[in-house]
Amino acid sequence: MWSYEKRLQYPVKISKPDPKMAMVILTQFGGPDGELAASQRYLSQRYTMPYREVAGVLTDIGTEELAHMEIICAIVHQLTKNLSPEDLVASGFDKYYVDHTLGLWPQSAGGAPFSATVFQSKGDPITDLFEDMAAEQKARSTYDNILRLIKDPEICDPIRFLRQREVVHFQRFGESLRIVQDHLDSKNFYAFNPEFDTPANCGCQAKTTR
Amino acid sequence: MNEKCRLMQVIYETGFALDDAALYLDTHPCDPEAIQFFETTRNYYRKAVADYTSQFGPLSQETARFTAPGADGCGCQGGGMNCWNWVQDPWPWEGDDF
Repeated sequence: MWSYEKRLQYPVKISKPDPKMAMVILTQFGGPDGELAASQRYLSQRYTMPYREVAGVLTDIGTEELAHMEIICAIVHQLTKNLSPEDLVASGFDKYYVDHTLGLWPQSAGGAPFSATVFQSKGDPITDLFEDMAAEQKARSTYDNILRLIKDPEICDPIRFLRQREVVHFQRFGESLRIVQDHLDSKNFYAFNPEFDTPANCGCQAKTTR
Repeated sequence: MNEKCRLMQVIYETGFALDDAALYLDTHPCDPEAIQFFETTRNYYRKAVADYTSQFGPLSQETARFTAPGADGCGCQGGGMNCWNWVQDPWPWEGDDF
C-alpha cells in the first residue's frame, strides 16, 4: 500500500502566472504521454509480471510517476493563480476555465479528456516493456516540445528535472527487458508468454518461473 | 498462527486504525481523545513494523536491508552483506504470503 509524504519530489516555486503555458503543461497531467497515463500503465502491468525484480521496477517507476503528476499539477496550479477575467480571455485559458474554473482536471493540451486508451497492459512482458520504453521517449519528446516554448527559468527548472527522469526510466526499462529476455529461450524469445503459458519441458522437470 | 502472521495481523489492524484515526483527525484536529488514540496506536504500529522488519524483511524501501547474496544467483560479488534484498521477497499481490 501507499503512504503520502507532504513534499514534492522536486520543488516548484513559480512567481509569475502564465495561463497560456499552463494550458500547454497540463497535457503532462492528462494527455496521451502524460504522468497519469504513465503511472496507471506501470502500476497496472506489474500484477502479472513474473520476475520480482521487474515487478519492483514497475512499482517504483509507477510510484514515481504519481509524484511527477503532483509536480505537473503544482506547476499548473501556480501558473493559474490570481487571474482576472481579462487575463483568462487574453491567454485563451477561458475555454478551460468555463468548465473547471481553476480546478485541476486531466486533459490534453488540445482539450481531449484523459483516456485509458492511451496506454496498454498487454499481459506479455516483452510487449509491455517495449511499450514502457516507447512511453518514456514520448514523454521526453513532449518535455522537449514544452521546453522550446518556455522562457521563464522558474518553469524550465522542474520541467528539465522531469525530462531527465524520462531518460533514466527508459534506461531502467531497457535493463528490465534484458532481465526478462535472460529468463527466456535465447533462440526464440516468443516461444511462450511467461505471464500466461507454461513452457514445454520435453518431459524434463519444469523450470520454475516463480 | 506463526510469528510472521501474528505480526502482520498486528500491522494490518494498527495500520488501518491509524488510517481511520488520521482521517477523523483531519476534520476534528482538536479532539484530545482521538489524538491520544492516534499516538498510542502509532506506537503499537511502529513496534510491530520494526519487529516484523528485523525478523522477516522490509515493508518499505526506507527499512530495506542489505543481505548476503541469495541462492538463486543475483550476481552480487563478494561474501558480505552487499545485496539489495528489496525485490527478493514476494510482492503482496502474489497472495501466498500475507
